[in-house]
Amino acid sequence: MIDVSHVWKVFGGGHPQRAIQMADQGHSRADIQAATGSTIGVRDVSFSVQRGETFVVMGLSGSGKSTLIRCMSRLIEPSGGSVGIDGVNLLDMNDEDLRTIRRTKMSMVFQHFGLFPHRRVIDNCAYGLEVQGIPKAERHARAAEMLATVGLTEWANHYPQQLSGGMQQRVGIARALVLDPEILYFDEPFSALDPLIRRDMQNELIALQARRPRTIVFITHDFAEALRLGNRIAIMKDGAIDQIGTPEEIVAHPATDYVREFTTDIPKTKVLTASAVMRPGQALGGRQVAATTKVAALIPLLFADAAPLSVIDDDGHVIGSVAREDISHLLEDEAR
Amino acid sequence: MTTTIEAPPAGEHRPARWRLVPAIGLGMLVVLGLALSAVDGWPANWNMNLRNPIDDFQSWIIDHKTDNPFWKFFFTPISSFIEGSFNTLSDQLKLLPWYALALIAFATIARTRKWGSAVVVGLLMLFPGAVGLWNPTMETLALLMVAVAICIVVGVPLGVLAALNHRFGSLIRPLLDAMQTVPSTVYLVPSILFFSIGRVPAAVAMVLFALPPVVRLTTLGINGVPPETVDAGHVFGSSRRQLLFNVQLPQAIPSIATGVNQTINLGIGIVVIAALIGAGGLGQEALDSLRTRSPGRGLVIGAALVALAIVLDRIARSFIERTTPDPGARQPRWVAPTVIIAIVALVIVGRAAGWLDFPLHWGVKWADPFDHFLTWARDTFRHQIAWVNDHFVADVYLRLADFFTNALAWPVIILAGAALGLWLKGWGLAGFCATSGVIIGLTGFWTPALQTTVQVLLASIIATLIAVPLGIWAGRRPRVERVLLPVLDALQTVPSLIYAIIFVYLIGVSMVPGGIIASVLYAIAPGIRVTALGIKAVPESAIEAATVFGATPRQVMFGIRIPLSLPALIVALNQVLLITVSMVIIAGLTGGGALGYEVVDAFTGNHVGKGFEVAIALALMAMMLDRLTQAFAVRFQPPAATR
Repeated sequence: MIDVSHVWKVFGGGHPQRAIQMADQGHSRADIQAATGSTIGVRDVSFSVQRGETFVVMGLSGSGKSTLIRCMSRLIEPSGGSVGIDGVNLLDMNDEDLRTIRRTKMSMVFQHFGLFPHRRVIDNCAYGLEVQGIPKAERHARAAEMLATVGLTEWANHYPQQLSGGMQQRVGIARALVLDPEILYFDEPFSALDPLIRRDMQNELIALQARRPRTIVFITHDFAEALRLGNRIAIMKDGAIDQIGTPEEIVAHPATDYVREFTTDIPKTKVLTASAVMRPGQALGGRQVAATTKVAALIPLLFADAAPLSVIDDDGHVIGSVAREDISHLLEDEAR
Repeated sequence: MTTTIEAPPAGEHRPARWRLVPAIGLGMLVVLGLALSAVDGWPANWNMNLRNPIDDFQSWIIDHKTDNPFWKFFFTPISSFIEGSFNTLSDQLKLLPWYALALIAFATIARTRKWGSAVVVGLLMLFPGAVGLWNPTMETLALLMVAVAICIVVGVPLGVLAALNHRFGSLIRPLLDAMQTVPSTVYLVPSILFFSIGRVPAAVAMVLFALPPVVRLTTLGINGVPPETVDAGHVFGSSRRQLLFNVQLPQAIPSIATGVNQTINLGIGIVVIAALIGAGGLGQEALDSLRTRSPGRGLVIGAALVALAIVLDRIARSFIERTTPDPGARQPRWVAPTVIIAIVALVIVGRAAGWLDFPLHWGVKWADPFDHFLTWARDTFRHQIAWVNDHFVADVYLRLADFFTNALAWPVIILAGAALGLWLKGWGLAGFCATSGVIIGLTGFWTPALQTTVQVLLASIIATLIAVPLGIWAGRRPRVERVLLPVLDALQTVPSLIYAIIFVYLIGVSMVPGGIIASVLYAIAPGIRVTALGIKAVPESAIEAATVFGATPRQVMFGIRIPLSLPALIVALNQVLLITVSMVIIAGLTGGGALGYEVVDAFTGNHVGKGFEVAIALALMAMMLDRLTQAFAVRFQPPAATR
């Protein structure tokens, strides 16, 4: 669905290509800045996102994740590479085509909501329809429908700044959904919300995805959020991707020390599944558990009965076994 | 994880040591200059003789107004457009029933549900009529409306362009800076060259003087639109036009309205001196009361102008507030049309019935007691007043002026200015000061310029000595500030000429009433304001930290508050200086001599060439003082955050 291929973004300086060359030769950000006056925002990033997948890009501030998503929506012009949407390179499009794809296919939710303070909630919601010239009655009807799905019907005639942060972001989401886009970009949408609201919103997003899966690229600096929402996660550092993988792969096998630092505080038993901790091979008797069972759910079974558990795949074949000692190091980690 | 934190280079906010050299050099130069006092004033034949070509150009314009295409198709149409709109507007305003404008003003403010303010504004709108100044007030209002409309029509697109096109923006920013630094007097000169005398050049001068805030605040408003909303506009597929009209301009409206409000205030500020080139209206009335020595009448005229200023300010503010949506204040749909229809009906009825004259009249009654009081004060304290005035003029002003014009040789003054610029900022400023000094000399007004500088410095020092302690006091005590603010507002809205009229009556013709007292009264308001702001902006955490470490209130004041607000104090000085420079013409009208006298003479005698020379000297003086104080403030700014 989305193919990001060798995307670069260089800020400042007159010669982005020189900065890219230097970066290719392995020079550090500081060296490049000193030599060319340019800062590397995004460094040779490639990945692809499947239809209906939630792809999370996780990184700390300054890692280039916001720049990346702005390159992917072409809010800023990448310095190199390509962003394919259904096989068409977004970067080759002229303004007219770009506008068309934005009006029909992709949409975005912003960190600070990006709502228009001079428009009522309903008119914010209907904005994407309004710029397409859809008549007022129709666009208001569709916007009202969307507001109903996010539970804000009564607030339609208020101005966004009169709503709480969580409600404002619901407006932001409703505004994006009105277009029924196939692709949704989320730029740290929940970072500005307090933790309890954040959790609610994450759950709602999961529910929304379950009802009608869309292709989502989700930016966050919160590793736990990435694990909750992502089918796959890309971890960014200094403009480049350190590792891409499923939540489980990343927690079980962090590719770099940087990635490992994020995983240390994560309760691994809630991320890892039986398949990640099992010893592959024959069953040793005992109860059978599915390969996708989280380790946390195995613990009571293992302690109820000393025998190792047999792990079976989707088809019911035994693919390995888990004994108490296989998970003991995880428990030690968590007890620490 | 351990990271080493490297200190960035300390930066250049402290001057390199070698810059102290010019400071020492300056001291030596002063000594040298005193020794060189044999050198006379600026050589008389070093004159660029600007006035001849300009006077010739003026005669050429008069001869060719009808056949030169540039006049035929550019200046003359502009001129007749302004003239026509002014005449229509002022005629229509004068034909309104007496209560019409008060009703409109009331209804405009009432939209924001500030009933008290609406009533006060309505009554204030009745004031000029009640004191018998209705017609001149309407003329002034019409002139202001024409000028402000032109400012909006020209200024908003310029501001949008400057925001969207960075090259254009960086091109006009220094121009706007310069336009706002130059005293309003300067704008009168080119206006009379191109548009002769009358309402038209007055409106043109008003537009030139009042344009910058609209442009600036439009740019500011557009640039201040949260970038995420612009991104959102893009993401939802807006075209450039849609982005501008749906997203950027609507969010910039409060800022634009603020700009328009400032523009109106600047326009009102130039009403009196624009009367020197034929603006008529209240400004002309004020000049007349100066000529006839009627301070009471001057005061009433000033009050009428203040009333008009407050009404316009509150109306503009109601639009600023209005654009910040608050559905709590939304009224049912039928209210606005009903009110408008009711007002229109009342106006039509009143006009048909001929209710034009004011039913009440208390003009003269207000003026007389004030005149009596001033006459009494003048006669009673005649000797004391004369003693202070004579000593100030003879022992302070004339001695200083003599020191600058005779004791110091002119090269020393120019070099000293350059050295100051070098010390405060660098070679650029040094070059600017030296060049400006030489150009002022070449205009032929070296000595008056120095005399004016002395007056400006004296008034500024006095104003700063009053403003800074009051500003610190107001910044520390909210209650003091609350009491002081309305007084400051009043001080600043009363046209400065009114102070001069009152004190000329008391003291007699001298540099004191206009050059010192009126300037000080006019300049302390912003001085106090900026100082108070600076004191208040000192971070609370710094003060808490000092207190925790056991600093006494005195130590907090002199060790924390004052050093941290020093840049603001220097900005206050900058404001005071620029305002006193703008008062030079008022000083000239009331016996201050120097450049002020020369410029008044140029206007009254229609010597445009001479006017240009003086205007150039005045503009350069203002720009030099501005840049030097700005550089001074920057030097005391703590370094900006680098990470």
